[in-house]
Amino acid sequence: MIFRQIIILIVLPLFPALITGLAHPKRPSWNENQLLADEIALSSAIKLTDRLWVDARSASDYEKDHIPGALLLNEDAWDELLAAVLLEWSPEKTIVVYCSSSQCQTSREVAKRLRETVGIELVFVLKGGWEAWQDSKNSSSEFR
Amino acid sequence: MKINFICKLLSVLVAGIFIYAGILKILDPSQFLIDIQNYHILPYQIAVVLALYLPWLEILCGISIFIHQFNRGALVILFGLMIIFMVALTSAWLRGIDISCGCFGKAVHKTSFLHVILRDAGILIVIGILIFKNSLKEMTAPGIVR
Repeated sequence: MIFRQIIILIVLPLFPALITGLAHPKRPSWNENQLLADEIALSSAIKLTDRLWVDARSASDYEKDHIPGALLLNEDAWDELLAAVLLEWSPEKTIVVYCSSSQCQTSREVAKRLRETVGIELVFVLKGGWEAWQDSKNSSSEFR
Repeated sequence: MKINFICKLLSVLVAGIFIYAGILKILDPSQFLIDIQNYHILPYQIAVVLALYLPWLEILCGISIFIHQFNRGALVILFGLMIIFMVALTSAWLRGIDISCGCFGKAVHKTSFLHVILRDAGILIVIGILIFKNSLKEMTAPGIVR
């Protein structure tokens, strides 16, 4: 009796899950490497001529190491750090925000805040974040 | 009588928790996928399947707590889910991974391991009590000869 209940309850959610996977506006991609609308790949980011790197990790991580030229900007000290970013930024510059890896959310939050509260339109999140930068740096010296 | 009332109350609490958690996750499956990936346990494709499936399982089991024919099955599944969540959480903590547990979609960002594990243990105990109470009821129900 209980096994029948368990089987039914395990099978039933497959149908709405399938519909979610096919039709949900925020459904995840089956391709791990596919970029989201606000993301930019490292290979494209380094080709940008007018680009401003923004490091959304913690101050201690930033101090350890960061992408050359990157400015620190995170939620911990937003107002103070934002001033330095705005000083460097100009409307033709594309801001590329990164955090630790593809799993962290701080770069997305910082990018969103820059877009919505500061009104900067050219803001992207670096796909793979600092991890992607490190991987590329290890495999090639072209990003230096 | 009083115990029955408390169990009813606990059932509503458990159902509410899982329905709420499921709805939050289903609103943004991509975010939930990121939360699952934070644990660094599953391959990407399996994480996608879970991100789509798990919220619906939680919602369905939450609702089924109130349906007599599915009540026990739902509680057993939720008990199993809680154990899996706690094992995953502990494994991430032991590996030094700072995770957003993903338990309540975007509603909870910062995660303290101790806080989450204690909360999950509390939910697990409540579900265990409800399963025990249901089994007891089943055994003592009229018509069942032991």
